[in-house]
Amino acid sequence: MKAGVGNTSAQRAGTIALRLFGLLFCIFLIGPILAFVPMSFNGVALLHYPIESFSLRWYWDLFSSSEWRLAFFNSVVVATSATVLATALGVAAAFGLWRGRFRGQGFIMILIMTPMIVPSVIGAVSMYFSFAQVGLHYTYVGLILAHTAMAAPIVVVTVSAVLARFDGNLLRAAASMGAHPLLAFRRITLPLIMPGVVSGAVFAFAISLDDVVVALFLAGPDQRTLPVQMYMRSTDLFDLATAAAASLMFVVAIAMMVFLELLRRRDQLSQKHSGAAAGQ
Amino acid sequence: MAPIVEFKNISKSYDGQSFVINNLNLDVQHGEFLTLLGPSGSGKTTALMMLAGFEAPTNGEIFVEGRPYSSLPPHKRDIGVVFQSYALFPHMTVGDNIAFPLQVRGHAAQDIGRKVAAALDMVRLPGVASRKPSELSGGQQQRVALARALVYEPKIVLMDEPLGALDRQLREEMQMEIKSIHARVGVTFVYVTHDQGEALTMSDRVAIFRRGVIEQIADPQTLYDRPGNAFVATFIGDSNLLTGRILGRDASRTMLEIPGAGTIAASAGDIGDGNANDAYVAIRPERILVSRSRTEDVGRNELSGTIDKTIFFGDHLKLVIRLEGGQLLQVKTETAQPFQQGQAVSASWSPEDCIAFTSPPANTRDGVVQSLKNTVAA
Repeated sequence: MKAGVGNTSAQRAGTIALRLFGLLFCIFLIGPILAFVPMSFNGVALLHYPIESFSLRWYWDLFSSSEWRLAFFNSVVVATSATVLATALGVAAAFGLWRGRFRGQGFIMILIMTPMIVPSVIGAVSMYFSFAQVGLHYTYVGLILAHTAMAAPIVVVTVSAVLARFDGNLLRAAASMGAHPLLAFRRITLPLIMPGVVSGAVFAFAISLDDVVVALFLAGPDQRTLPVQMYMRSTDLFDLATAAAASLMFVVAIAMMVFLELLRRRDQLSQKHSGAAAGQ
Repeated sequence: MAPIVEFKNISKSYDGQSFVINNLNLDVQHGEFLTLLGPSGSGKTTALMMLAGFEAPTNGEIFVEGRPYSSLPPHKRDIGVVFQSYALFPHMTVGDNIAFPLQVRGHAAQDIGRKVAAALDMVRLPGVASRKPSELSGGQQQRVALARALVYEPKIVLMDEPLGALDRQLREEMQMEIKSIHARVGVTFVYVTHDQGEALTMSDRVAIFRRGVIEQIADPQTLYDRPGNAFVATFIGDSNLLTGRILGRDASRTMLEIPGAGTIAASAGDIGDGNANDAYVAIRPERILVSRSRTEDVGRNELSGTIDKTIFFGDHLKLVIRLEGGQLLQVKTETAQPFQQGQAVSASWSPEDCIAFTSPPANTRDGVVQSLKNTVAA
């Protein structure tokens, strides 16, 4: 019994230590970001604490400056277009790889994954040179295509994960009932793999929104995205508008993570539900 | 009437070397309930999948109503399929599941509603249309799958071990149900199972598959009473299989010597095919009479032995008799029979009730020749 009690208190100490470690690690991860956010409300253009006066002037600057407005616009256009393209291509690739039985499937999978594995500066330089050959550098199309290539692999990964649990007999059943493969895909496959498609799309959007390196190479002054604009501004005349932009992006990132988490919970709930019913 | 389905010289190979289906010829008649029965890996499911269009034959042609079907995609075949895993669309309600094939075919909305309700009535599940498949039990889900496969009145309905996931009692209930639905709708059913009991109770005809070929195709009674070879004799129901030597044969009768036990007469199975001397004699356990002393009835085969085991089964008693010469014979008798272990008995049966075969029943690899294995092991 005594050993049991000792064990319990040791366990409790262990739990406390683990929680403390977890907390410290979280501070390490997001502390710098959280410390940066309040500065965007500083009335004075100084990057240090204490904040001298509370003000929204940097946010005002952000929305009134045509340069920042363009950067916002570019980021939204590029990220949205790249997300749509990457999701369409990624879903098609994942479905093809799931459905097909052919040689070289593993090789194709690796090929699709390369943009995710290769360091982005290498991808950026090589895309810059090859796009320049065909006049795609410093264009929206070029930047969107580059981001599509970078974002498609994550869609393939998330969609492949849900397809692994997808019952192929559903498509056979649909075919036997007279459904053309395209109709069966739209009515049966797509609704059932939607959680994977949506989370893939969110990640794809995040990848595009997050990118500095490739955009630095491929974007001309007219295509400058938000991260590029922030980077440029922090290297020359630094003002706290960058902090304001960073805070906004931080909010968007958190919103996406919350969305993904909600999606995961809903998915888990429906799985648990169908699992319980099948066990009856 | 011409058959609705014809398999003509169908072969299927996945690796280009071994054949899952080997030169299969099979006719399915209009409106019949045909079961493809066989151990796993015998090719029965592959045959069904080729008819549904999910697999393409390597050689040969499948005709449906006289039309070549091999290159027709599944969605143009008008053949309903019921899967063991039900394959209901989990994101749709039961009603939407059953409406799906009608919507695909462009039926009018009010027609669809009426037909869905009628289909649910047919499988005795009225009032579940608005539920999700996951809210139903396994048996109910399979009823829905059946309703969905029948609602658009396809030419043929295929079923791939549809009751395999259900427990025994539910399975027997569903067998009766499927049988009665077949009788009512009159559609051609092709049913795949490895359960011989299921095949015998439900089918008009049964095709016995082994290693990609059909061993025998016949109605259940014929399969049971007049198996075409030793494999069918042991695969369908229980059968004793005695080994013996052929002494002489004429058109209908074969005389055999069972070593150490005596001479018997048997009807000829595949004996005519060759001139081998070793033979297998199949006898159903319930066709054997056991008595304390010899009956000396000249019209019957009669061998002596001793009771090796008695096993009580509730509704019947199984006797295992060790014949003179050492071979074992299983007998099904009434439970009132007062036999004891070690008792000397005489076993007799009519020559019509035993059939002699020359080709061996199966490799032990097939793992299905239960009664033979019991006999040898005991």
